Amino acid sequence: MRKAMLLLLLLPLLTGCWDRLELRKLNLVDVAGFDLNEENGEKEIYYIVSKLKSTGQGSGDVISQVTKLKGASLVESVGQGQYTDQAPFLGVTTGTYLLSESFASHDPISALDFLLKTPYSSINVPVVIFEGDMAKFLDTVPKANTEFTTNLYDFNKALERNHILSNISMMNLILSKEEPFTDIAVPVMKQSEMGVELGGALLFRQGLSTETKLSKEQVQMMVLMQGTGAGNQRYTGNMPEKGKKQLTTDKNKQNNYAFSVKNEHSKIKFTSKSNKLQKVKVNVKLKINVFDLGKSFHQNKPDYINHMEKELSNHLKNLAVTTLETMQKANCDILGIGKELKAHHPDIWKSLDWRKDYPRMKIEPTFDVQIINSDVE
Amino acid sequence: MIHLKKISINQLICLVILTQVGVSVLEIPYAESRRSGYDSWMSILVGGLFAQIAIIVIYQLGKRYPEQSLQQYIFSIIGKPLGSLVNLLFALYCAQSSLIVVISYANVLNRWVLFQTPFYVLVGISVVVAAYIASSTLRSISTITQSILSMFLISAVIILISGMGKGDWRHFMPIGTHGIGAIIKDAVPAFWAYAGYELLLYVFPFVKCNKKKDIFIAMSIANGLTTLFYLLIAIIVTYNFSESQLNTITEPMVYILRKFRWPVVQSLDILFMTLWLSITTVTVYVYLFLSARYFAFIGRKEIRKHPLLVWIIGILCFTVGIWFSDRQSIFKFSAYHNKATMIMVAIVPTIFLLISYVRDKVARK
Repeated sequence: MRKAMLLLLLLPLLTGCWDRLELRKLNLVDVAGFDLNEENGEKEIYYIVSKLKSTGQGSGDVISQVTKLKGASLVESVGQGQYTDQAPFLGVTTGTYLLSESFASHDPISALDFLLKTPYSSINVPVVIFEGDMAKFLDTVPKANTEFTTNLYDFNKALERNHILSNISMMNLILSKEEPFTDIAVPVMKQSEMGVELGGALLFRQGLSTETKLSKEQVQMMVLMQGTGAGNQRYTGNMPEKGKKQLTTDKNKQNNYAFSVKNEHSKIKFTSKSNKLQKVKVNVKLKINVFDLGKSFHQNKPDYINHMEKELSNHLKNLAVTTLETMQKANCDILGIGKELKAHHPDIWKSLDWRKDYPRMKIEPTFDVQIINSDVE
Repeated sequence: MIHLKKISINQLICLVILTQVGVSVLEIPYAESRRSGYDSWMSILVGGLFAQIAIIVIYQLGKRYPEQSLQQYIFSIIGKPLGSLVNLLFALYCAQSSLIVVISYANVLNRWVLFQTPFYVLVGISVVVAAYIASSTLRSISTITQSILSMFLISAVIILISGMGKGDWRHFMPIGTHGIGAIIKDAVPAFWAYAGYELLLYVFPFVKCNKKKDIFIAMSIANGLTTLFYLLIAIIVTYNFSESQLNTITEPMVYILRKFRWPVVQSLDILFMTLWLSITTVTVYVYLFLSARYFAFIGRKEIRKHPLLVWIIGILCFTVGIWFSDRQSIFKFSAYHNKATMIMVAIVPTIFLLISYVRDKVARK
């Protein structure tokens, strides 16, 4: 009897009792888009909820419903959700956060940081910046393309898995404001017919947008310099003719290349004199599998391979220089040079005023490329 | 009735570990990093060392009266009236320890998992479950605790899995720059988190062992494992959050669990917090049990109605506990309880040990 009573008392705790949430009544949001109406300053939220219509045995037609909420602040807009039947059940639960460019450029963290303290809010899902008219896009594309939300979710995962660009979770973004030396690059997506494509990355410094975007090519260089480029990512491009810095317009004279990185090692080194920093070197060693390298592959001779390794190293170095210049102009230390200095060279670190010194610092990238899949001995 | 059967060395280890770990797991190393920053893992280690010193004191005290528990030999050290008072203070301290764990964890559940559920329901259910277990014998309690150890291991695996992934080892560098003073100062809040080993004051005579030294070894193993567990949490947290980020997050482990992404299990934090309820329940029922045992010795004769005492203390804890539904009052209560812990588990046993030595010497002369 005593045990039965105890079990009965325990039951409410097991079921959640007061807090039970019926699965059928949950509006699970696939995408939550945050926008700023620059005319009246209102924060707008777009919830895309996918529902199944005409459900059968394990099947059904997916329909995407878009709900728009607005308020003076983002948290107020979320609060408006309780007065509509389409809004999610609680907090902000979603598979992806889409931020419009205008929202991202107006201190987004101050508007978003309530998510950290709100129970059931998704803080581990990726944040993506949308380039273009997000309101128009979300009003049309998800309705026309029912696969959109799933594709977006898978695309984000693929970016991370293939080491193309690391996902930035909502928590990473919010906490970056608290960390003076961790800058981040948030993926930028733009419309491509009935879906989205990667447009580059927007640089954030201590939670604020620098308004500087890295192109896709620069994102590749950033990933290589970070030492995380090995994986399924395919690096493709054109090299200029020998002795020239600019690419030729004659397609027959272009040296196309395509490779994937099998193995990578990146190291940041510092040159100093009496604890004064003189130069920073970013040394990148790549072991690559080449699929295309200017000539037909069967014509590759040892000399040509050695020559192209150097050419490719130089080409990547030049690309890295422009990428670093962009980062320095934006005063955004994505490579974590400051963290490296602070951690391993505290004496040099003490002599620096980081945010003032970083943009004018001499940073030299070097690339050492080794082709590991050539047929010639 | 309560102590006819003895507990094994393994049971003692389980009992100590699970009494030590509690709600603080979610907060480590926030309090320990206020001065020592990213060197807080060292404060956790030093805190474990302080706890080991307290264990040595308690063990030495127990060794001098191997056939009795503190409730009984206290009368030989400081006499009857004062002894009764000390038993009463220990009884109140243990009841207070139960109460603080119950309300702190009910508050965590109320904020993160079950925020519609009334606070009194969470407190009530925790107290009822704990009181039911605490009303049985020490041997039964130890056996239940051994079973709960599996929950602890599952929770430890969850912590380990969710803590891995994106992080930065440079958060630990340069090591030791906050200075030894800051590290030792922050070892004090760490020391509070290790409380639980003082149960040896009661269980010493009820441990089955060949040599009394085995008890000390078991206690050291238990405290060592708890130290390792806390150290693991401090390392995981520092790996995930920099010092500046840690300043804004009071419950870092909650955020580490929340940031974990796995298609099979969503919201790992909710799963963990539900499992962890069983671990905090151990602390609650052990202290309820101890409180009842101390209460039993406040009069001239031992009160032998142990279950009745447990339920009375449980009802008192519930009645007081329901008034602590807001977090600010828990902070204040916790600050007071930390001071009480320092006095009851470190200072008081040391004083008793010294008095006992002096009395012994005087008696020999």
